[in-house]
Amino acid sequence: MNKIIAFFVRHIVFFQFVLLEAAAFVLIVNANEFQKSVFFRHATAVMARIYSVTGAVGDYFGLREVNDALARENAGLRNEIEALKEQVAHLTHDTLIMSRRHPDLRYIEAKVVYNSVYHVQNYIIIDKGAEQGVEPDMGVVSPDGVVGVVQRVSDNFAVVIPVINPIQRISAKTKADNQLGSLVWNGRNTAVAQMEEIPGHVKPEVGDSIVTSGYSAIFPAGIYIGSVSKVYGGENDPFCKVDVRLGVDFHSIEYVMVAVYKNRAELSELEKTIEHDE
Amino acid sequence: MTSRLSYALHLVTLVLLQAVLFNNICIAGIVNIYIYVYFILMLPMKTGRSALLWTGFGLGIVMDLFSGTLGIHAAATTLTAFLRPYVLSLYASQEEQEKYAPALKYIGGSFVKYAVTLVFIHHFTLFALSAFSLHFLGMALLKAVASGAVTSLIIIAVERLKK
Repeated sequence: MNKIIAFFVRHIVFFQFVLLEAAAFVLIVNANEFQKSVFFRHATAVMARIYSVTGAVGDYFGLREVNDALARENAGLRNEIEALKEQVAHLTHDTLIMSRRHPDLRYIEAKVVYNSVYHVQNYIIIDKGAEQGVEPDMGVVSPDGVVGVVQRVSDNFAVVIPVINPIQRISAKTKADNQLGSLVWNGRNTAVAQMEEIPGHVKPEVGDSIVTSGYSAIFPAGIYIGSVSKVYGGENDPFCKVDVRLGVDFHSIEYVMVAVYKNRAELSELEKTIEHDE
Repeated sequence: MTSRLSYALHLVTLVLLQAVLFNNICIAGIVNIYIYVYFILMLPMKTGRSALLWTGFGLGIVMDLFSGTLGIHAAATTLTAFLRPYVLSLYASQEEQEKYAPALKYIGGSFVKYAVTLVFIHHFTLFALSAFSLHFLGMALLKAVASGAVTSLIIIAVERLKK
């Protein structure tokens, strides 16, 4: 017995090393699990506050570009209003068409307070959280296209896993032929993601638009993701893969919108019952 | 200034520099500077091995909180802290190891080898774990060499200024 104790005492440093490394690995492996979300609920709020202070300084340097972007968006919106006014004028008697516009979808605007693009496991923090109605698994988009999906929320902030993180898989389709595939990122170039599992008989072509499929309560259908920049796979392969040049420039992303479905909870509840049956 | 206070100041400065500045810098897509590991390198010679380990682990956890990568920095810093005494005895002579701290002004050229080795070990562990897949191992190695070189250069430059 004494020998065992003596052995432990002699190698106490090594045992502490193993213990600490084990602790670190438990933390890594449990990533995205419940514990992490509880832990980060508090940590995210603290860190996001620090980053929103440092971000406020950075904002002044980016004002000119933001102003330009806002002016451009303003112009676009104004045009749209004019076009819509004209339409409304023609359609005041036909209420059927008006009611078909996504009645159960609305957007929450949010500002990016932290954004990582230089790692493989990238993520984004936005300044809207549970109190503003943001929940995990909500889709995040920007005027340029799909940004990512909310992973976890604190009271006033939310962590978004962007398209440029290999754990993110987004159901996508080609706009031209409605061929389904799954969009993932290979960890290399932040401007290019890969779309896999596209049926081989209808090959997309370079330049084709890739949009969201809408087969979930995360994104509405038809939101722009990017355009095909390269096609892989031979003539007779059952599936093909393409490179997608992303519409969003993740290096300069500042304002985003979170897509909220009115009946989202009900739909995901229903989806869960399917998983339980399997 | 007491050395304890000086170390505390170094710690706060390094952590803030890392979180606010260096976490946002990436050169040519492969160089990420992790300057905070400098704190583990600079601790006094007489720091106990257990104390080194816990300091390393704690520092890693703090960095993990700032970068949202729970456990990855902690694993890398704990390994670095564990290997520090071995790397030190590999390069520094018995006489050098009795100096106050492993700094350029005390142990000269041995410091360069010591710093480069530990910085590379730390960076490689970090990149390999953050990719968490063998698929990216080649890239982790490339990034570790490139980033480690830059981090080491900065540390050695700072050491020269302190001399």
